[in-house]
Amino acid sequence: MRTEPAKDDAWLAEWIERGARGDEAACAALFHEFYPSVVRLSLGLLNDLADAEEVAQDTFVYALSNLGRYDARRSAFRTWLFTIALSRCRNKRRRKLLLQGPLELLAGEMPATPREVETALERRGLRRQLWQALQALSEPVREAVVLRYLGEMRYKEVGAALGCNPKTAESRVRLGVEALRRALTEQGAAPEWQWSEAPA
Amino acid sequence: MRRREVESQLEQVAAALKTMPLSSEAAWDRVRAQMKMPRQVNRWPLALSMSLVAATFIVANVVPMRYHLAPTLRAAYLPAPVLVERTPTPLGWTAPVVSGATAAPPLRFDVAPVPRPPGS
Repeated sequence: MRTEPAKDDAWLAEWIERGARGDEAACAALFHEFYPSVVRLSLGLLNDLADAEEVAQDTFVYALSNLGRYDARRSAFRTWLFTIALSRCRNKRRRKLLLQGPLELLAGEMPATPREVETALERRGLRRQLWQALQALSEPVREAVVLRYLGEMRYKEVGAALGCNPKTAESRVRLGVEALRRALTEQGAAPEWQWSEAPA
Repeated sequence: MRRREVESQLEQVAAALKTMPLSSEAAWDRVRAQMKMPRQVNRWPLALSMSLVAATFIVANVVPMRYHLAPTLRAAYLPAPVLVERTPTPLGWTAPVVSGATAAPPLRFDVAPVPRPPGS
Protein backbone atom coordinates (compact mmCIF):
# COMPACT_ATOMS: atom_id res chain seq x y z
CA MET A 1 0.00 0.00 0.00
CA ARG A 2 1.20 3.44 -0.82
CA THR A 3 1.76 5.68 2.13
CA GLU A 4 1.02 9.31 1.62
CA PRO A 5 4.18 11.37 1.73
CA ALA A 6 3.04 14.90 2.37
CA LYS A 7 5.48 16.90 0.32
CA ASP A 8 9.15 16.73 -0.02
CA ASP A 9 10.55 15.94 3.44
CA ALA A 10 12.80 19.00 3.37
CA TRP A 11 9.81 21.25 2.74
CA LEU A 12 7.88 19.57 5.51
CA ALA A 13 10.77 20.01 7.93
CA GLU A 14 11.00 23.66 6.97
CA TRP A 15 7.26 24.21 7.45
CA ILE A 16 7.43 22.56 10.84
CA GLU A 17 10.41 24.64 11.87
CA ARG A 18 8.82 27.85 10.65
CA GLY A 19 5.50 26.88 12.22
CA ALA A 20 7.22 26.27 15.54
CA ARG A 21 8.60 29.80 15.35
CA GLY A 22 5.04 31.10 14.89
CA ASP A 23 4.97 31.56 11.12
CA GLU A 24 1.25 31.56 10.26
CA ALA A 25 1.81 30.79 6.57
CA ALA A 26 3.74 27.63 7.48
CA CYS A 27 1.00 26.61 9.93
CA ALA A 28 -1.61 27.16 7.21
CA ALA A 29 0.42 25.08 4.77
CA LEU A 30 0.68 22.23 7.29
CA PHE A 31 -3.03 22.47 8.03
CA HIS A 32 -4.12 22.37 4.40
CA GLU A 33 -1.75 19.51 3.69
CA PHE A 34 -2.89 17.23 6.50
CA TYR A 35 -6.40 18.34 7.46
CA PRO A 36 -8.27 16.14 4.95
CA SER A 37 -6.42 12.99 6.02
CA VAL A 38 -7.05 13.73 9.71
CA VAL A 39 -10.76 14.27 8.99
CA ARG A 40 -10.97 10.99 7.05
CA LEU A 41 -9.25 9.14 9.86
CA SER A 42 -11.54 10.68 12.49
CA LEU A 43 -14.58 9.98 10.32
CA GLY A 44 -13.62 6.32 10.16
CA LEU A 45 -13.32 6.22 13.93
CA LEU A 46 -16.32 8.37 14.88
CA ASN A 47 -18.76 7.73 12.02
CA ASP A 48 -19.94 11.34 12.13
CA LEU A 49 -18.61 14.07 9.88
CA ALA A 50 -19.35 16.98 12.24
CA ASP A 51 -17.58 15.18 15.10
CA ALA A 52 -14.71 14.24 12.81
CA GLU A 53 -14.22 17.86 11.71
CA GLU A 54 -14.37 19.07 15.31
CA VAL A 55 -11.80 16.50 16.41
CA ALA A 56 -9.56 17.32 13.44
CA GLN A 57 -9.68 21.02 14.27
CA ASP A 58 -8.90 20.32 17.93
CA THR A 59 -6.02 18.16 16.79
CA PHE A 60 -4.58 20.99 14.73
CA VAL A 61 -5.06 23.60 17.43
CA TYR A 62 -3.02 21.39 19.76
CA ALA A 63 -0.47 20.27 17.18
CA LEU A 64 0.22 23.71 15.71
CA SER A 65 0.49 25.26 19.16
CA ASN A 66 2.94 22.54 20.21
CA LEU A 67 5.04 22.13 17.08
CA GLY A 68 8.14 22.61 19.21
CA ARG A 69 7.36 19.31 20.95
CA TYR A 70 7.38 17.33 17.73
CA ASP A 71 10.47 15.18 17.42
CA ALA A 72 11.15 14.10 13.86
CA ARG A 73 13.52 11.38 15.08
CA ARG A 74 10.73 9.58 16.91
CA SER A 75 8.01 9.53 14.28
CA ALA A 76 6.82 10.99 11.02
CA PHE A 77 4.81 14.18 11.33
CA ARG A 78 1.69 12.46 10.01
CA THR A 79 2.04 9.69 12.58
CA TRP A 80 2.34 12.31 15.33
CA LEU A 81 -0.79 14.07 14.08
CA PHE A 82 -2.71 10.82 13.79
CA THR A 83 -1.70 9.85 17.33
CA ILE A 84 -3.12 13.13 18.64
CA ALA A 85 -6.28 12.68 16.56
CA LEU A 86 -6.66 9.08 17.73
CA SER A 87 -6.54 10.12 21.36
CA ARG A 88 -9.13 12.85 20.78
CA CYS A 89 -11.37 10.44 18.88
CA ARG A 90 -11.27 8.03 21.83
CA ASN A 91 -12.27 10.82 24.21
CA LYS A 92 -15.06 11.91 21.90
CA ARG A 93 -16.41 8.37 21.57
CA ARG A 94 -16.35 7.88 25.32
CA ARG A 95 -18.21 11.12 25.91
CA LYS A 96 -20.80 10.12 23.33
CA LEU A 97 -21.19 6.67 24.89
CA LEU A 98 -21.81 8.28 28.26
CA LEU A 99 -24.51 10.44 26.74
CA GLN A 100 -26.17 7.49 25.03
CA GLY A 101 -29.11 5.99 26.82
CA PRO A 102 -28.83 2.43 28.15
CA LEU A 103 -31.63 1.27 25.82
CA GLU A 104 -29.75 2.52 22.78
CA LEU A 105 -26.65 0.66 23.96
CA LEU A 106 -28.60 -2.53 24.52
CA ALA A 107 -30.30 -2.32 21.15
CA GLY A 108 -26.90 -2.80 19.47
CA GLU A 109 -28.20 -1.77 16.06
CA MET A 110 -25.92 -1.27 13.09
CA PRO A 111 -24.68 2.32 13.19
CA ALA A 112 -26.16 4.55 10.52
CA THR A 113 -23.80 5.68 7.79
CA PRO A 114 -23.35 9.45 7.57
CA ARG A 115 -25.00 10.94 4.50
CA GLU A 116 -21.73 12.41 3.22
CA VAL A 117 -20.00 9.02 3.40
CA GLU A 118 -22.92 7.34 1.71
CA THR A 119 -22.80 9.87 -1.11
CA ALA A 120 -19.05 9.44 -1.53
CA LEU A 121 -19.42 5.65 -1.63
CA GLU A 122 -22.33 5.75 -4.06
CA ARG A 123 -20.37 8.00 -6.36
CA ARG A 124 -17.84 5.19 -6.64
CA GLY A 125 -20.46 2.50 -7.01
CA LEU A 126 -19.79 1.15 -3.52
CA ARG A 127 -22.38 0.04 -0.99
CA ARG A 128 -22.44 1.00 2.65
CA GLN A 129 -22.29 -2.52 4.18
CA LEU A 130 -18.50 -2.46 4.46
CA TRP A 131 -18.60 0.89 6.22
CA GLN A 132 -21.24 -0.37 8.64
CA ALA A 133 -19.32 -3.57 9.28
CA LEU A 134 -16.21 -1.45 9.92
CA GLN A 135 -18.09 0.59 12.50
CA ALA A 136 -19.29 -2.57 14.22
CA LEU A 137 -15.71 -3.81 14.86
CA SER A 138 -14.32 -3.62 18.37
CA GLU A 139 -12.46 -0.39 19.12
CA PRO A 140 -8.82 -1.61 19.04
CA VAL A 141 -9.39 -3.58 15.85
CA ARG A 142 -11.29 -0.77 14.14
CA GLU A 143 -8.56 1.71 15.06
CA ALA A 144 -5.93 -0.53 13.49
CA VAL A 145 -7.98 -1.07 10.31
CA VAL A 146 -8.84 2.62 9.96
CA LEU A 147 -5.22 3.70 10.47
CA ARG A 148 -4.02 1.13 7.99
CA TYR A 149 -6.54 1.69 5.21
CA LEU A 150 -8.12 5.12 5.68
CA GLY A 151 -4.92 6.58 7.14
CA GLU A 152 -2.82 4.71 4.57
CA MET A 153 -0.16 3.90 7.12
CA ARG A 154 2.41 1.15 7.24
CA TYR A 155 2.19 -1.40 10.03
CA LYS A 156 5.15 0.23 11.71
CA GLU A 157 3.34 3.58 11.73
CA VAL A 158 0.07 1.96 12.86
CA GLY A 159 1.97 0.37 15.73
CA ALA A 160 3.57 3.71 16.63
CA ALA A 161 0.18 5.47 16.63
CA LEU A 162 -1.48 2.72 18.67
CA GLY A 163 1.44 2.33 21.04
CA CYS A 164 2.02 -1.32 20.20
CA ASN A 165 4.59 -3.16 18.14
CA PRO A 166 4.12 -3.51 14.37
CA LYS A 167 3.38 -7.24 14.62
CA THR A 168 0.51 -6.58 17.01
CA ALA A 169 -0.78 -3.87 14.69
CA GLU A 170 -0.60 -6.25 11.74
CA SER A 171 -2.39 -8.94 13.69
CA ARG A 172 -5.19 -6.53 14.64
CA VAL A 173 -5.57 -5.45 11.03
CA ARG A 174 -5.75 -9.09 9.92
CA LEU A 175 -8.38 -9.80 12.56
CA GLY A 176 -10.36 -6.80 11.40
CA VAL A 177 -10.21 -7.70 7.75
CA GLU A 178 -11.24 -11.25 8.56
CA ALA A 179 -14.17 -9.98 10.65
CA LEU A 180 -15.22 -7.71 7.79
CA ARG A 181 -14.98 -10.59 5.33
CA ARG A 182 -17.17 -12.76 7.55
CA ALA A 183 -19.70 -9.98 8.08
CA LEU A 184 -19.98 -9.28 4.39
CA THR A 185 -20.24 -12.94 3.50
CA GLU A 186 -23.00 -13.45 6.09
CA GLN A 187 -24.88 -10.52 4.65
CA GLY A 188 -24.49 -12.03 1.20
CA ALA A 189 -22.93 -8.81 0.09
CA ALA A 190 -20.31 -10.37 -2.14
CA PRO A 191 -22.12 -9.84 -5.43
CA GLU A 192 -22.90 -6.25 -4.50
CA TRP A 193 -19.23 -5.51 -4.00
CA GLN A 194 -18.27 -6.24 -7.53
CA TRP A 195 -16.76 -3.23 -9.14
CA SER A 196 -18.97 -0.94 -11.03
CA GLU A 197 -17.85 2.09 -12.90
CA ALA A 198 -18.45 5.36 -11.19
CA PRO A 199 -21.04 7.44 -12.97
CA ALA A 200 -19.51 10.09 -15.17
CA MET B 1 -15.45 -13.31 -0.66
CA ARG B 2 -11.72 -13.41 -0.19
CA ARG B 3 -9.54 -11.44 2.11
CA ARG B 4 -7.85 -9.64 -0.75
CA GLU B 5 -11.21 -8.43 -2.00
CA VAL B 6 -12.02 -6.93 1.37
CA GLU B 7 -8.66 -5.15 1.42
CA SER B 8 -9.30 -3.86 -2.06
CA GLN B 9 -12.73 -2.62 -1.02
CA LEU B 10 -11.22 -0.84 1.98
CA GLU B 11 -8.74 0.89 -0.30
CA GLN B 12 -11.61 1.92 -2.54
CA VAL B 13 -13.53 3.29 0.44
CA ALA B 14 -10.44 5.34 1.35
CA ALA B 15 -10.26 6.61 -2.22
CA ALA B 16 -13.98 7.43 -2.17
CA LEU B 17 -13.61 9.43 1.03
CA LYS B 18 -10.93 11.52 -0.64
CA THR B 19 -13.58 12.81 -3.03
CA MET B 20 -15.73 14.01 -0.15
CA PRO B 21 -15.90 17.82 -0.15
CA LEU B 22 -14.43 19.46 2.94
CA SER B 23 -14.49 23.15 3.78
CA SER B 24 -10.89 23.37 4.86
CA GLU B 25 -10.70 27.19 4.51
CA ALA B 26 -13.49 27.69 7.04
CA ALA B 27 -11.88 25.05 9.26
CA TRP B 28 -8.53 26.87 9.05
CA ASP B 29 -10.21 30.13 10.06
CA ARG B 30 -11.63 28.43 13.15
CA VAL B 31 -8.30 26.80 14.02
CA ARG B 32 -6.43 30.08 13.57
CA ALA B 33 -8.95 31.92 15.72
CA GLN B 34 -8.59 29.32 18.47
CA MET B 35 -4.81 29.47 18.28
CA LYS B 36 -4.90 33.24 18.71
CA MET B 37 -7.11 33.05 21.77
CA PRO B 38 -5.18 33.56 24.98
CA ARG B 39 -4.30 30.27 26.52
CA GLN B 40 -6.40 29.17 29.41
CA VAL B 41 -4.20 29.31 32.48
CA ASN B 42 -4.73 26.50 34.91
CA ARG B 43 -5.88 28.22 38.05
CA TRP B 44 -6.57 25.14 40.12
CA PRO B 45 -3.01 24.72 41.50
CA LEU B 46 -3.10 28.26 42.89
CA ALA B 47 -6.61 27.80 44.29
CA LEU B 48 -5.63 24.49 45.87
CA SER B 49 -2.50 25.86 47.52
CA MET B 50 -4.40 28.91 48.85
CA SER B 51 -7.06 26.63 50.29
CA LEU B 52 -4.41 24.47 51.92
CA VAL B 53 -2.75 27.50 53.48
CA ALA B 54 -6.11 28.77 54.77
CA ALA B 55 -7.00 25.36 56.15
CA THR B 56 -3.61 25.13 57.86
CA PHE B 57 -4.12 28.49 59.58
CA ILE B 58 -7.63 27.58 60.70
CA VAL B 59 -6.54 24.24 62.10
CA ALA B 60 -3.42 25.68 63.70
CA ASN B 61 -5.50 28.21 65.62
CA VAL B 62 -7.62 25.75 67.56
CA VAL B 63 -6.38 25.38 71.15
CA PRO B 64 -5.06 21.80 71.02
CA MET B 65 -2.94 22.71 67.99
CA ARG B 66 -1.81 25.99 69.47
CA TYR B 67 -0.76 24.08 72.61
CA HIS B 68 1.75 22.21 70.48
CA LEU B 69 2.68 25.01 68.10
CA ALA B 70 2.91 28.06 70.36
CA PRO B 71 5.57 27.71 73.15
CA THR B 72 4.11 30.57 75.21
CA LEU B 73 0.69 28.96 75.28
CA ARG B 74 2.17 25.63 76.29
CA ALA B 75 4.07 27.36 79.05
CA ALA B 76 0.86 28.97 80.26
CA TYR B 77 -0.76 25.58 80.58
CA LEU B 78 2.13 24.06 82.49
CA PRO B 79 2.14 24.22 86.33
CA ALA B 80 4.24 26.99 87.73
CA PRO B 81 7.76 25.89 88.64
CA VAL B 82 8.26 25.39 92.33
CA LEU B 83 11.59 25.63 94.08
CA VAL B 84 12.18 22.69 96.34
CA GLU B 85 14.87 22.80 98.95
CA ARG B 86 16.67 19.74 100.30
CA THR B 87 19.55 19.88 102.70
CA PRO B 88 22.37 17.36 102.91
CA THR B 89 22.92 15.89 106.39
CA PRO B 90 25.27 13.18 107.57
CA LEU B 91 22.29 10.81 107.44
CA GLY B 92 21.28 11.76 103.92
CA TRP B 93 19.15 14.41 102.29
CA THR B 94 16.29 15.99 104.15
CA ALA B 95 12.75 15.68 102.77
CA PRO B 96 12.03 18.26 100.09
CA VAL B 97 10.60 21.45 101.42
CA VAL B 98 8.83 23.90 99.17
CA SER B 99 10.76 27.11 99.30
CA GLY B 100 8.96 30.14 100.61
CA ALA B 101 10.08 32.06 97.55
CA THR B 102 7.92 30.09 95.14
CA ALA B 103 5.35 28.57 97.43
CA ALA B 104 1.90 29.48 96.28
CA PRO B 105 0.20 31.71 98.82
CA PRO B 106 -2.82 30.07 100.40
CA LEU B 107 -6.11 31.03 98.90
CA ARG B 108 -8.03 33.35 101.14
CA PHE B 109 -11.77 33.82 100.79
CA ASP B 110 -12.35 35.91 103.91
CA VAL B 111 -14.29 38.62 102.19
CA ALA B 112 -15.29 41.50 104.43
CA PRO B 113 -19.05 41.44 105.21
CA VAL B 114 -21.04 43.74 103.03
CA PRO B 115 -22.45 46.54 105.17
CA ARG B 116 -26.18 46.32 105.42
CA PRO B 117 -28.19 49.24 104.20
CA PRO B 118 -29.38 51.48 107.01
CA GLY B 119 -32.69 50.52 108.52
CA SER B 120 -32.60 46.90 107.47
